[in-house]
Amino acid sequence: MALQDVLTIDPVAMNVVNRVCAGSQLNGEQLYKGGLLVQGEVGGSLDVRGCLIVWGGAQVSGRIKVWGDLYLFGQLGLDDQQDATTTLECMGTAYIANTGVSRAALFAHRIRLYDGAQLHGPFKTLKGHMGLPELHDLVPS
Amino acid sequence: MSNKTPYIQQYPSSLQEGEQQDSSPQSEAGISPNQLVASTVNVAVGTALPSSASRNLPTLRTEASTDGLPDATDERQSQIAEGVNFVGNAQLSGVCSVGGKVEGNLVQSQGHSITVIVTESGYVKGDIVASNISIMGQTDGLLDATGGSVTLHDASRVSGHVRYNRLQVNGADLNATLEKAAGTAGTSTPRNFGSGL
Repeated sequence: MALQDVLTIDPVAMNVVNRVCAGSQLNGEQLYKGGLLVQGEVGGSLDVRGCLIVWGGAQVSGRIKVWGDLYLFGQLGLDDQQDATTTLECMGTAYIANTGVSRAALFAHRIRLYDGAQLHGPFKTLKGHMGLPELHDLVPS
Repeated sequence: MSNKTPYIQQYPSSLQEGEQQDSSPQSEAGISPNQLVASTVNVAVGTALPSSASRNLPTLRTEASTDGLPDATDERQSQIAEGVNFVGNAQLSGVCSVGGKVEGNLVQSQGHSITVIVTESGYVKGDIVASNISIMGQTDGLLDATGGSVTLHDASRVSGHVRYNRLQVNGADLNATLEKAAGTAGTSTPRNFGSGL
C-alpha cells in the first residue's frame, strides 16, 4: 500500500501568526515576524521570519526570504513559463507538494519534492556558509 | 511510520482519501477560515520517496535480482561496477546500473525505453538520456527523462540540467536547472553528445 505524506498544519506549534486570505492581493515590501499562510496573492519583497505556507490556488512572487520551512501547495512565481523576477531563499526545508508549482529561482538548504510537483527553473541547495545572515538581517529570536 | 519533521507524517493513501476531500488545499469549501487559524488541519502532500535510512534502495549487485532491480540474468541489463572507469558514450537498450565512474553520455537507443540507475558509489560526468533515471550517487550534466521520471534520493548530488515529466526529490544536493518536458526521452539532442569530453 503506497504511503502518502500528510502535512499537519498546527498554527500554534508552527507559529503561523500571519495570514493573507483568499481574494486578497498584497504588493510591496513586507516583513512578517512569524510564520505566514498565503491563500491569496502576495508579491514584492518578502521577509518571512518563520515558515511560509502557500496554499493551493495561492500565488507568491517577488524576492522572498524564508527563515523557516517552505510548504508549497500553490504557485511560486508569475504565470510565465519561467519567472526570472522571482527568487525564493529558504533557510530550512522546501516541501513541494503534489499540487505545487514553482516557476522561480529556488534556493533551499534541503528540498523534498513529492510525486506530481512541478519545478521549473534553477534550483540550488544552499550550503552552510551560504546561510549566514546579511549585515542588514537580524536573526529571528 | 516515519516522521521526517514534527509536521509531516505518513499515512496509507487509501486512508487519506476520505480525509483529503475535506482538507486538500484545493477544496477550500471544506475548511472555514477560522478553522485554519484556530485548529490543526491535515493536508495531503503526495507520495514521497523512501528515505535511504531504510536501506531498501537498490544497489549494484551481481547476484540474483532484488526488489526494484530487474533480473540480473537479463541480457539487456548493463552494469558498470564500482571500481570501473568508463570513458566514452554508450547506446543502451536495457537497464543500466552505474556504480563506477563514467565520463561520457549514456543514451537509450531509439525505440527503447530504459532505466538508468546511478548507485551510491556511482559518478557520471556527462549526459544521461533515458525514460527513467534514478540517482543515488553523483552526476554532472544533463539528465533527460523527457516524458519519463527522475528520482533523486537523499544521498545524491546532481548538477547540470534536469528534464522530466515526473520528478521526485528527497533531500538531494541539487544544483541544476529544472525543466518539465512531456514527450519521449532522447528526442532532443543532449549537450556534448558525440563531441567528446
